[in-house]
Amino acid sequence: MSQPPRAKLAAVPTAVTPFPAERLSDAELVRSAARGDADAVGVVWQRYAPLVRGVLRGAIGPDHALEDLLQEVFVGFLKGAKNIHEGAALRGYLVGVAVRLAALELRRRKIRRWVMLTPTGVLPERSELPADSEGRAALRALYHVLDGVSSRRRLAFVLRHVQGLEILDVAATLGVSESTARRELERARSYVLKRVEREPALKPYLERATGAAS
Amino acid sequence: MNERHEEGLSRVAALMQRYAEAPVEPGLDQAGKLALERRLRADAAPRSRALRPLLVALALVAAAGLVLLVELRPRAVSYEVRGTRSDGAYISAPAATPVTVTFSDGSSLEAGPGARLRVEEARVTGARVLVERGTTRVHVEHRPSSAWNFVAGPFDVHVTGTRFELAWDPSTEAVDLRLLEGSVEVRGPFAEAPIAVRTGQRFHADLSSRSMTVIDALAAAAAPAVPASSASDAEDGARPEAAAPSEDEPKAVARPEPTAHAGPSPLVSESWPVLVARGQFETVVAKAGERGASECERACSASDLRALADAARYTGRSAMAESALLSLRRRFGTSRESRSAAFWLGRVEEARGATAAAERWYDTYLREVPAGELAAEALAGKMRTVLARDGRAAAAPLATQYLARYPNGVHAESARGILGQTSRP
Repeated sequence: MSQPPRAKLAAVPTAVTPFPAERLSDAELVRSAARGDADAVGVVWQRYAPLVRGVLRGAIGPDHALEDLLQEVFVGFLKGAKNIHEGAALRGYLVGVAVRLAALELRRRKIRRWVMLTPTGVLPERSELPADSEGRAALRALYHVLDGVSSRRRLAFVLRHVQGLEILDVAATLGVSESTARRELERARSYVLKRVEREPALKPYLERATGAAS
Repeated sequence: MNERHEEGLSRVAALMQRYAEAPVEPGLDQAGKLALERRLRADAAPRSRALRPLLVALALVAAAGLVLLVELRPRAVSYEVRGTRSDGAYISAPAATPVTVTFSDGSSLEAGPGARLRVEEARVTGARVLVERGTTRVHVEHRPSSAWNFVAGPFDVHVTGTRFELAWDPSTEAVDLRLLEGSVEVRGPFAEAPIAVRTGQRFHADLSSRSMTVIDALAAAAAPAVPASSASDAEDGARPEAAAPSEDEPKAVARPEPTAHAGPSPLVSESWPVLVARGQFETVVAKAGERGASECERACSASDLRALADAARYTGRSAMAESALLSLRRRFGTSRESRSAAFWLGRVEEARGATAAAERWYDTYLREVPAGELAAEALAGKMRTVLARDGRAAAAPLATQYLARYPNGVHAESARGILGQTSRP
């Protein structure tokens, strides 16, 4: 193996190129963000905004407040970054914050419904629904069904069936025991199934399933 | 849960997943990221932390200032009633005993037996008191800004600091005011200008006979005593002529007969503004002469001085007019009469042909009261004096100014003449 000539080593630029933030680990990003590093915060956004947005969408459905909630999650991260001791758990931290904010939003909706600010408690939708009218109607019907269960059951259902979390992670995210998480999830599932059968917009989905089974 | 159900649930969940994972518009995502970075910069901005103590200090100073402002704000005078139970603002003296009302500024009232008062309005500078019935003895503490009103029927007695006795009899609609100290001004339905009443004078007005007179103390002392029949009104407690002598006077002092006030009498003197309004200018000049010119300049009320100046001007006594007006300026500071006096001094000087002095006084008026009721006349006077002294070219800017402010004014034609403009059709 030949050694590189000394002359070539001397020609290496002396300026140190900073390690690209995109390649930092979650733990390093958390430390940098805690120091106010805007690049690190930007990378955290790029890395986790789609996930957090997905959690929020799954939890609260089409809602104009979704992007505001997304901001709230990351503002919460900015404020709390100094206190995150286990930086590697950033993903779980952000999902947990998103779930808590979604639960708050669902409660606010109920209050809006009680005080009749809107007939359903849901504010006008954004245009992020599926382009096809069938899919749009089905999604609306599905969230209408989910409005009938408690926030905790709803979130358990979303975390398990939409985000694909294991039951232990669902329990941890919701801050409940594993058995409680199982019970809540089971009740949410049976409720959803029972109601879905009565929703005309969702019937085609079930019929396809029936057809596939027969 | 059977297999069919499981598959149905999976399909439904898949629908939600597709929605949850659907991409967003790049602009929306970028906007969110930028908003977050802005928030980070704002939080990290060192100036906000450096300014925090300053902001806290400013907030504290503002709060302290607010507290001070609330604590030190001028408060309306308060009062305390002794001798009876006041029903809100109403004060009714019992039939046999007087009632004392003490105000927080040191002023006080004594409502005679049977009298009824109402403190209609308590102000920072005084109060407005309605004398609804009977005799009230008043002592108003003189302060630079004090302003009190005592209203008896249609008569309004304006007071800045004095002692007097005021009686109102609602059944005969007669008011009687006796000045013990200082001077007051009375406004009533029979005179456009306020009537000044000075120490030792007595003002009496009777709505039924539409008479209003001011009686000098000496005349009052020489007049016959009030007949017993008119001295009191036992039924409602009113004592329009104060039959019982006050503690300031010996019992032997006689009171004028009320009915004698209605017509002209050598014992009776009407106020100077009333005399001027009637065209009795010489009478006013004579009365001022009797009193002594310097004495009047020193002690006459503003309304009397103004009346004297008018009477003197109308009778061609420019020196006397000037003297009265200068006294008004000297003694009554920034009052309305004092400011108007500047204009009238301009008139006096203009009449003498002293154009420079006249211009100065007109300027003084325009400076002090730019939009005053005599401003148009003052500007016209200045235009005339400049024209007389310096010619048309010098007066042209004033004429332009006059036309701009008063295009339809009385002197608009003169102004157009100075500018060489043709008259309006």
